[in-house]
Amino acid sequence: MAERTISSGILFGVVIIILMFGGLYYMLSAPTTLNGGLIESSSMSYTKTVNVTLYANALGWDYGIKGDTVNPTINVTAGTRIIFTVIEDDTAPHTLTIADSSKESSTHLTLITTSQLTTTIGHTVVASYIFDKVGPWTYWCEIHPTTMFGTINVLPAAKTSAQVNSNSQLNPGQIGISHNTVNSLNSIFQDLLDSSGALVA
Amino acid sequence: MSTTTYLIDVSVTISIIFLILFYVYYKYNSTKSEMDKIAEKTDYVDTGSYFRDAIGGKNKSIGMSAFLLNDAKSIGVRYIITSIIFFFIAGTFGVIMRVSLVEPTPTLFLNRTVLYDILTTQHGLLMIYMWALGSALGFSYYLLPTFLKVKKDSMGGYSSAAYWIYILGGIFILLSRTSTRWYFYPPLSLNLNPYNAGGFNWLAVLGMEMIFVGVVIAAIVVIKMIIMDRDENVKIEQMPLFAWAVLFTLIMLVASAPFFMLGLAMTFYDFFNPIFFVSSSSSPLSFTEMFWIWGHPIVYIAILPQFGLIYEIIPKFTGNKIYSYASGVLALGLLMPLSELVWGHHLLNSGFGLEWGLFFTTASFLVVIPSAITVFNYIATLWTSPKIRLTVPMLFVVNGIFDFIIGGITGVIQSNLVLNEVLHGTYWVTGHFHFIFLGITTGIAFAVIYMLFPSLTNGRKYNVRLAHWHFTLTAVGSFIMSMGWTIGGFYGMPRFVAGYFARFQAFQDTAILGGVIVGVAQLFFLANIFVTYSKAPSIASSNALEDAYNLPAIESGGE
Repeated sequence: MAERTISSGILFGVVIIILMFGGLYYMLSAPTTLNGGLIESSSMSYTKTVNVTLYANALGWDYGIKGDTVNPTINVTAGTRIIFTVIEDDTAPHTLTIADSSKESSTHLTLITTSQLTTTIGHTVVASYIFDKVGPWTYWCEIHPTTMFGTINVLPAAKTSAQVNSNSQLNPGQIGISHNTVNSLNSIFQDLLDSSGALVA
Repeated sequence: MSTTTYLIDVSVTISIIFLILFYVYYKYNSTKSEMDKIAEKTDYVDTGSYFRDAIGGKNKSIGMSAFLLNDAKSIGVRYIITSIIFFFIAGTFGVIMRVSLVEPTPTLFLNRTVLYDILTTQHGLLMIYMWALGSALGFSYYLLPTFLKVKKDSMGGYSSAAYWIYILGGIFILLSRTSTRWYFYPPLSLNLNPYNAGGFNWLAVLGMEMIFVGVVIAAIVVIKMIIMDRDENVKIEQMPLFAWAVLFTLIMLVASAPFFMLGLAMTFYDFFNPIFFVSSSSSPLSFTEMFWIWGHPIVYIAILPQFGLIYEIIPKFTGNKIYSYASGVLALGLLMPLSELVWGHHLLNSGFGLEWGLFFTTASFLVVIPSAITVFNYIATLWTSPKIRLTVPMLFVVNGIFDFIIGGITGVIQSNLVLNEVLHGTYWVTGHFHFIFLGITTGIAFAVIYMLFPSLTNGRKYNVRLAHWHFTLTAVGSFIMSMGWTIGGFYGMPRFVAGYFARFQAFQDTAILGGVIVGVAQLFFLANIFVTYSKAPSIASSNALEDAYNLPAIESGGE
């Protein structure tokens, strides 16, 4: 019995010491870089600036703004700095989150958080990001990822430099923004919204 | 590393923990079913206590068997073991946090100051829920059956399940690496971004919820033990003051926990569909109120059992009874409703109106009355005693009373509606509650651990020199650290930040000195365990706290 209790007490002390250092190591190894290196460094240079205005609506980005189309596809060249102007369009909270892959990824970067963009209609938040990596990027709202979901195509700089004028306002005709059509369910929602708005008015 | 990798890490860890738990449960259950058959044959009322008696008398010492037995003593030992472990884990975080503040610009955490936020959060959460609450529950489970002469343990299975839920919740919080502070205020707690270490906030909220479930079940079991399982000879009006303290504490806990449990559940829903706290028709302020209705009582839950323990320790070393039993019960009873009514003084700056501010300030001043009754009761007991034996537990008690007076006065000052404008969010608050948490919560917990030492270690004496060093360094270090914060806070030194303005460096360096001293002091306790266990048991495994309650029963022919 004596040997067993000796070892249990020593074991207790050893467990404490191991857990002290183990816990400290675990905490100090927490991720501190922004989302797998998506953060733009202050020294990063950009060749062009493109303005993109997005209306944040739970039924889709730019819902009801540009006809029946939502979630515009944005085409830019590598090294372009996009200045996102996000305008609250309903009363739901939204984020603007981007990732450097064709679908939502765990290594993402939230440019505009729910605490920045308030739920007051018309509230505007501006954020910018320099798109350096060629390939498809995705932008979405973390709260409504199934409806508010669009693509940013970053093309190689040499081929498409002619297509983009620097410091220009992005519009559908210029850089070929393609639009998805609103599905019928969303139309029903919109009709409901319209009729309810009429009733309230 | 990506979130996916972390998720895999966490799931593998949890799976391993579950596998171990299932194995232990299997071993335990197969043994228990055999034991239950024998117990039924031998007409044992409670199968759990038969299990305990058959394995070797009253099992009380530190060891693995405490985790397998369901009697109250073993569950108490479980809580004591894990609370000590979590005290050391969270204490390490605290010391590293302090050391990182050596320069106004972050040194250790340069460009990754989020680590400071994580350490602050973990230090606070683990110290409050796993150390203060865990040790209080441990002492309740361990001491109350003796104090109240409980004949049969009951609801041991519930207690055991509550313990495992509670400890798993603590592990979840540790694994979550959350940085939300212990408040869980949205929208910060709703941030699921791996940066800011908020990626696993959901795990912290889940862990918090599990801690609550465990603690509330344990509280109900202990309340039942105090009210219903008492021996007929122990009248409720003659109950030990510790039992009164635990009773009031746990009633307070059960009454105020649902508010924060509900708030956490709503936060968890907000992860998926934010309608409660960050939508256009709601406000994060509603969460802060739900939090503080719980958040203020928890502060008292962390000290009320220790008040009761002081009442139990003082007579052992002074030789006379508590000066006034009735006023002791009255003061503890008054602290219960009053502490439920003062939660708003944490939100005096949130702009909820002058009337509410005046109400909560007045209520906060009223708390002085029962606190002062308690302190004067201690002082009167010490004053009228013929001789005070200043052993290590008694030194912890005297230091605790001293620290509580300072901490209490600084607390009353900051609840002033006007001064709160200045002191809110400064290190003054940190200094205030570290005086109380280090003096009363931690100090008295160690006093009790030293008093229970022969029982917990199966008949060994603690090394008195190491214990004296432990006490002296804890007392001196905590005073230096808390005083540095308190004075610095009065000059406006903001808390919860990884850097500070250079004009506060003197205060911060003072606090670092104190903090390192406190950290080193706890190593003496650790050394004491090793030194003690390197020797064979030499004395009886009884302890001074429980003997006083065992003796009269034998004299009067009890049992």
